[in-house]
Formats: sequence, C-alpha cells, structure tokens
Amino acid sequence: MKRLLTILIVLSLASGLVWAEMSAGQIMSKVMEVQSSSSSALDLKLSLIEPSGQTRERRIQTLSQTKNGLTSTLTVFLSPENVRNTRFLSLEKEDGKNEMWIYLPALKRSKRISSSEEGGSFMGSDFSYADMASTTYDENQAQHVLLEEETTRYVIQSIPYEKKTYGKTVSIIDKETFLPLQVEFFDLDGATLVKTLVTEQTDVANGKPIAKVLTMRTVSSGHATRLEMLQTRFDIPLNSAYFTQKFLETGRL
Amino acid sequence: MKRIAMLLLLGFILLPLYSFDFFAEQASRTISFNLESGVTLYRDKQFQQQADLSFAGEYNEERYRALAALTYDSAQNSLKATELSISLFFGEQTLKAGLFTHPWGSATTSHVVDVLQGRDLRRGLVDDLERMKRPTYMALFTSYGESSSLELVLKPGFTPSYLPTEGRYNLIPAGFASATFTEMDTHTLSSFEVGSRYRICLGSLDTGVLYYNGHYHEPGFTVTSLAPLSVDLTYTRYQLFGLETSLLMDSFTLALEGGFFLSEDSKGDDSGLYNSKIAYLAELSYTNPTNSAFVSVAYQGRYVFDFSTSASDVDYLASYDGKAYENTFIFVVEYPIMQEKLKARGALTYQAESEGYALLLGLSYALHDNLQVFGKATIYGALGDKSSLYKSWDTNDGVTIGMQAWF
Repeated sequence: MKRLLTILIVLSLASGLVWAEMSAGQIMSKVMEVQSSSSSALDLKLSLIEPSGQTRERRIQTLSQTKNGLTSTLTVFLSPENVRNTRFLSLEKEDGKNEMWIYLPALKRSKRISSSEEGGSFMGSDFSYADMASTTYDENQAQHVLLEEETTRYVIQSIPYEKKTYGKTVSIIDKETFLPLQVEFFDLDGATLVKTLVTEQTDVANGKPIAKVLTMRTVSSGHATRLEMLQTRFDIPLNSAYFTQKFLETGRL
Repeated sequence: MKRIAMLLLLGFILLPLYSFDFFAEQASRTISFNLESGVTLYRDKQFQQQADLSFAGEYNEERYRALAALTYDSAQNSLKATELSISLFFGEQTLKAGLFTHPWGSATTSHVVDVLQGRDLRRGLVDDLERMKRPTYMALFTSYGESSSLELVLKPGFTPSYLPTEGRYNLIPAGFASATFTEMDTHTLSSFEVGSRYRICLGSLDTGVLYYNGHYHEPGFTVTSLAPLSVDLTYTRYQLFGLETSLLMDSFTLALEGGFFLSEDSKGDDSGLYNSKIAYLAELSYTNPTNSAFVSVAYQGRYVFDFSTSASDVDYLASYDGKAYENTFIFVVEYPIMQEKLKARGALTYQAESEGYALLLGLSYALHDNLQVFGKATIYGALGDKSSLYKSWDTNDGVTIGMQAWF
C-alpha cells in the first residue's frame, strides 16, 4: 500500500513537472490539439445581441474534415428564412491559403471569396470568418509568451507571425481541459483591444472537452454574439462530397 | 381570395419544415412565405399600391428535390409560377427539369451571356437581376468534375421576354400604338433551344466556354397589312459562342463576358430579323474585407454587323441613337452597416449613345430577423434630347416605401 502511495505521489509530481515545463508554444499547441478532430459536425445557434439587448438569431450547421493536414469546412445556413440555404465552402490548400466560395440562393450563383475577407464579419456577427475556424494560434503560427500562470489557468500572449486580422491575442487557458476560457483580440497595432471572447459554458462530447457556449463582444460597438453548440459530433465518417462545388451549388451529395 | 386560400392550404399541407439538416435522419419538407407590401409615388403624382405574396414549397428526399414557388400579385390580381421544378441527383450528375431560371455569366451586376431566359419589364428596371427574369421551361443536365462542371440545356420551346404593351412601362413605339400584333407560337418543337456550358476553376481563375442555339428574346416583326396596321411578331434564331471568366485578385474580382451571336439572318438583309452581333462586358468589383461593402464598375458593349439605318429595320429600332454599337457603363455600390441591419444600395446605368441613364437607390433596415422596411427611389432620364428607353420612362421616376417579411 505504501509502495502504491509512493508511486502515485511520484507520478503526480512527475506529471506536475511535465506541465510546469510546458512552454507557451506547447500549451497553445495543446489547445489546438484538444480542439482538433479529423472531422466534425456542429449544429450552432448564433445570437446577435445589440447593446440595447435586442437579439437576432441565426442557425447554422458546419461540417469539417481534415485530410493530410488540410481542413475543409462547409457551413450551411438554416435560418433566418431570408438566408436559408446559403452555403459557404472553405478548402485549405497546401500553401496555407484557403479557397473560399459562397453560394447565394437568391442569385442561384456561387461566388468565390477572397482569403483577405477572412477578417470580415461572419454573417453580421462579431465573429470573423477566421474566428469561426479558430480563435487561437498554433505553436508555429505565432510567437507565444506565458504572461502568467495561476493554479487553474495559463495566461498567454500570442503575436502572429503573419498579421492578417489581429496584431496580438491574450488567451486564458484552462489547465485541466486546455480550452480557452477567454481570448482578447487586439488590433494590428497590438495595443487596441478590439474584441473579447468568453467561454460561458463547457461540456464534454464524445469524451472531448468542448466550449459549448461562447460570447464574442466587440469593444467599440458594444455589440455581442453568443454562439451556442446545440449538437456536436466529432471524428465521424464524413463523405468528402460535402466539400465540393457540387454540394455547394446543389446542396446534395 | 380563392388563390390566397389555395396558397394557405398548400402551406398547411406541406408543413412541417426543413431542407438541409445534417442531424435530421429523414426526408424533409420546407415551406416559406415572403410578403412584400409597399406604395410607390411617381413623379406624375400618381401612386401605385403593391402587395406580393410569394410562396415556396420544397420537398427533399435523398435522390430528388421538388420545388414549387408561386407569387400572387395583388395589383394585377394574378398568380404566377416563378419555379416549378424537379431535380434528380445521381452520383456526380444532376438533372433538373421544369419551369425555372438558370444563370449563366460570371459578372455580378450585368450579363451579356445570361441567355437562358428572357426579361420581365413590367415593373421597369429593379435592383435585382433575378427578379427581372422570366422563368422558362427547360431540362438542365449537369455533370460535376473535381474542379469543373459541364451543363447541357434543352428547351423544347422558348419563352420570350415579357414586353409591356400598355401601362406605365409600355414599350410599343408610338407609330405602332394602333397596330394589331400576332404572336408567333414559341412553344413548338421547331422553336427548340439547346446549349451547353463548361466551367473550370484554375487557381484564382474561374472560366467557362458556352454554346447556345436559341432565339433573341425580343421580337422582330413583319408588317402584314398597312391599313389597318397589322404586324406578325417573329423571333430570330441565333447561335452563341461565348466565354465567361472571373479572376480573383485579393479583394478585387475582374469578370469578363463575351460572345458572338451568329444570327439566322447572317447577311443582315432581312429587316424583320436581328443581325449577328458581338457583345462584351468587363466588370471590376471590390469587396471590403472588414465590412463586406461592395463596389462594382462595369462596361458593357455590343456591335451589330451589317447594320442598316432603315427606319423599319429591327436592329435600327432596337439601337441606341441609330448606332450599330452600344457602350453602357454601370456603377453599383452596396454598403451594409450596423451589423448588416442597415443596407444602402445604389446603381447607376449610363448609356453613352442615347445619353440615357437610370439611377436606382435603396435603403433597407432589418427590424427583426424576418422583417425589414425599405425605401427605394428610381430615376430615369437622359442628358440630352435623344430618344431612348430611359427617356421614354422619364415620367416613371418614383419613390417606394414598404415592408418585407419572411415566414
């Protein structure tokens, strides 16, 4: 019994040492790893909240698949009625850029979108297209600095090597789940706070910790967007035909 | 009343809802309504009230989709179908048949190769190209490759443009006001139309080639009697060899469309038929990456071969200022603000030969997810005295206010 206790204590200390020795880059890499999956299907509700409290809702479903390190994402808008069946396709290419298309049912046309529009508002929300893909940077995408370490969380500053949308982010990471609890997004000057993302509720889906409810608030306008995951499926078999021009234009496999 | 009751009945039969839903395990039905109501005050101090109820019912199963879209126009007291189609899906192929519109062309604000359907000008020029199209019966087969697609179109007959012969947007020249018109039957096998389009994505370049064997949607004519004036309307068959392409350059998109229309009157010696022509369009558009504001500048032109200056020749009658060529400039801007709740839109068309212009302005504000109020202004005119469609519609300048709801 004594031996068992000793082993447990040693293991526990060793484990603590491992975490303590993690660099900021490794922590952010772990954050990305925890949130990544070979495929996913998400049923989401977006609530656009005015500073006055008035709310508008959008319902979307997002399918995502990663093959050979390249991620393809399809987003379908289910409501409101005037944007229903709008479809958005993003294909990551080997040069790191994304090819993006949007299908607008009112025009019956698909239109290519510039990757520079990744910083643009996603469906009038406070999330940008880039935010919808990820709100944190991987180890090799930014210079990460551990600003603070508390009992239950890390505070990490990330300065992206390629400044497209933000000049800096400051993330608070939960030590247990490695989920970002809060992310502050700064303008390209690295000093002006632009938006704040807060994880309001976490959950476990298929044994995977997930941020179930998130709220992004734009500092200048006071406008906020609440993103709620209604249904989630991870690492499921997904037909590659979802991520094609055919599905984009017809909505069919 | 009967028609409204029929729409409502159809609606209840088709409840409940849904189309694409990854998490749903069964076939789905969707029903939606769009109600648009407004009043337009014209420059001649007349006003027109308008209320349109549009209904769309959609049924989806794994291998097919059925779609019915109807619009009830209260001012005309008419119910018209905007789409009645069935689509079959098998592998990389789709087959869609019925009454619908299908867009060709790569530009956003105007097209010269979007030839599959005619126009409906009963409400003049509106700020939505799709709403100005007249649906037509056709079968459309599409085969998709990894980054390409091939379309084949077959129309057993064809539906010409709807050109108003009375009312505010009347397009009949004054000299023909008392004429008796005899329409050609366009829904016969001899009026068939066929075409194909091949599109491919090459990096940032999307390009396509197309062929179409069809008819000019505007009628030519033959005078059969002078007193009283009697005219047979005819439609000119042509073959189109066209090209459409768009090149994405960061936030800018350059779109090019062009085509050679080889008329059945290739020598241009039949005054009742349209001659061969080339038509071309270049459009440069910009989308602001941060707020999705859209600006576009386009140039559109055409040149008619073997052009005749005879006053009775249809090419001359359809020309601007009696010229074989046409140069038109189009400027469009859309600016969304307040998290896309408020949208300002503007479009200006200037036709160089006739010096005519049309200015369309619009402002919409979303009161709720499915409810918006809007205001629109339309101004037609000409800088000089030359006659043109724009000048003849000068008195149709108007301001519209209204509401639109989706449910």
